[in-house]
Amino acid sequence: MATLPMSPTLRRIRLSHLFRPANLSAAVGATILLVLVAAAVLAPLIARYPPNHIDILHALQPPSWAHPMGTDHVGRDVFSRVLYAIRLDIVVVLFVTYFPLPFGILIGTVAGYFGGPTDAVISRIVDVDIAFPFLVLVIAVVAIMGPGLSGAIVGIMVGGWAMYARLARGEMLVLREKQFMLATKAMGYSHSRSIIRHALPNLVRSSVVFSASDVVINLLVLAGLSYLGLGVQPPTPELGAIVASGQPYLLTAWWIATLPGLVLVIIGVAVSMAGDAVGDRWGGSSG
Amino acid sequence: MAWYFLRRLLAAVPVLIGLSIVAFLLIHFVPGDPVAQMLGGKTTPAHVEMVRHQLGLDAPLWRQYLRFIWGVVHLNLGYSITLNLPVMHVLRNRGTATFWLLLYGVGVAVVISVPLAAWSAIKPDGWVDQGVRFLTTTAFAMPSFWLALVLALIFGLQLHWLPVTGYTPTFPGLFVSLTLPAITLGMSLVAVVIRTLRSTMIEVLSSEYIAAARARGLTERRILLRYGLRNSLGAMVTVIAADIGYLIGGTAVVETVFQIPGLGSLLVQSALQRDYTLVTALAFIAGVAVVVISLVTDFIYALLDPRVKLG
Repeated sequence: MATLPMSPTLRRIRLSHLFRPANLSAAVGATILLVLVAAAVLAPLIARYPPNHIDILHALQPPSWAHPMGTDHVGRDVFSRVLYAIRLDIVVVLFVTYFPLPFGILIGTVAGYFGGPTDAVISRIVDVDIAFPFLVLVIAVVAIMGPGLSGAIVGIMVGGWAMYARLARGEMLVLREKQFMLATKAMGYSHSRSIIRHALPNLVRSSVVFSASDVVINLLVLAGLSYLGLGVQPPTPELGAIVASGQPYLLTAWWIATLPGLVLVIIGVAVSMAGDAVGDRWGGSSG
Repeated sequence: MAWYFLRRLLAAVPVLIGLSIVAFLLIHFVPGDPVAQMLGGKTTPAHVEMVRHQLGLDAPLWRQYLRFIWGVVHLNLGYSITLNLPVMHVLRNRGTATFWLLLYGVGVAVVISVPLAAWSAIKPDGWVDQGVRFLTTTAFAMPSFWLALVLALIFGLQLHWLPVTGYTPTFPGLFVSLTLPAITLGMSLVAVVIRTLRSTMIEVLSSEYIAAARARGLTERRILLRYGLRNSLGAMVTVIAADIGYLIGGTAVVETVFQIPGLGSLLVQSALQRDYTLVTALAFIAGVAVVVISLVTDFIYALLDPRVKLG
């Protein structure tokens, strides 16, 4: 018998495998993310109006076919603004999460590899960075640099690297007692070769798993700062800023504040679902 | 035991010193002249120099730092230019609202989390567990400013059950005025608390003494509540203490949305108005609060649970 025909039961198992809750939620999360990224990339094609196109005659219109998320107090199409906002939020959040990540891992790895005074100094700096409540630290940095996107970006990165450093240091302490790490020493490899070629590849995984919840937190912080007037400044479309602009009209035009916020929730849920799936497969916790 | 307390206390000292250095240095990272920025546009160079001298910003850096520490020790955190008041005076006025909000918020988080976690731990991966997991994922992704607006829209503006803004400093009113803010703040903690409590309970419920309790014929209800839940509460306290910084940061948003005169809304105002003395003081206090709360939790935990390794 050259090939075994797939038995009906086997096929059923595979199908049901896809619909097992864990895999289903991973698939749903990934699909939503794909749609959101596509919407962000294609925003200029999908949006029927420019994001800052003012049309006072059609202000505060409820959701309709022409305006799926209604219009705001100066008649701008909320859906078009949301599309451009998703674009900005996704790009900024990916940058502030994944730019500091390698630095954090490297710093933590160095601390765990050398131990002693190097570790003591790095660990104290990490402790101090983490002791400040994240949002408080970010707001303090924004206060220094002045409200705006650049202040928000620097602030989130100043607070962001430390968790990865702490995570990588903890794992490095275990790793350095392992045979293969002891072997690198016995074979006379340089410190940088031991760290970069042999230690780091083993430490990246847990940080990447953790980064999914970091993406969600950073998204909430960026939107929160913009909502408070400390982040992205109007009229640039950003999801938190759009919510803030709709707040005075909550009772008369609920759609301006609530629908863009719902988009934030959907992005966060999709990232978490996809992140949990990666975490389940790779082990480690995604927080 | 005393040795353990002393060592934990000493370990916190470098972190506290680090916090004070970072908070102190904040104003020195301001691009341009911080004093001129604090005073705004309408000012003369002579006035700027005078205020600079008043704030002690013309002294050498090390002396400025010593003065800052000296002030901290004597509960003097400087003078706010925008409010024209000593910082300590402002903090004392606004601290109580934040304190009650945090306490109430933690209470709400516990009340929501405990039953849901216990319910989903009974049958891991059952449909209740799946539902609760989706709920925690959603709660985790929910921006608190948005949840605040939705709650205000439904329970305040539509149903008129609860006030939407403002703060009553006296007792029965305090409870009412902080209800929506506390729910908003508590929800940001619910996701981590449920996840931790659920996984700890599943672990506890699969242990041998639970099997022994079942063999003795105790009811499932009694096993779940008396054995499972009780032995998992320690993990919950730990995770709440570990996330207290997240909660403190959350007060900035929640207090601003609901217009509560607390420390969080003060931080936002002082950042917008670039009152660096206030920002420094608030950031420092927030950091110290996190360190102190984690110390106190560790101590209580060590006292209550003899299994904690004191080595």
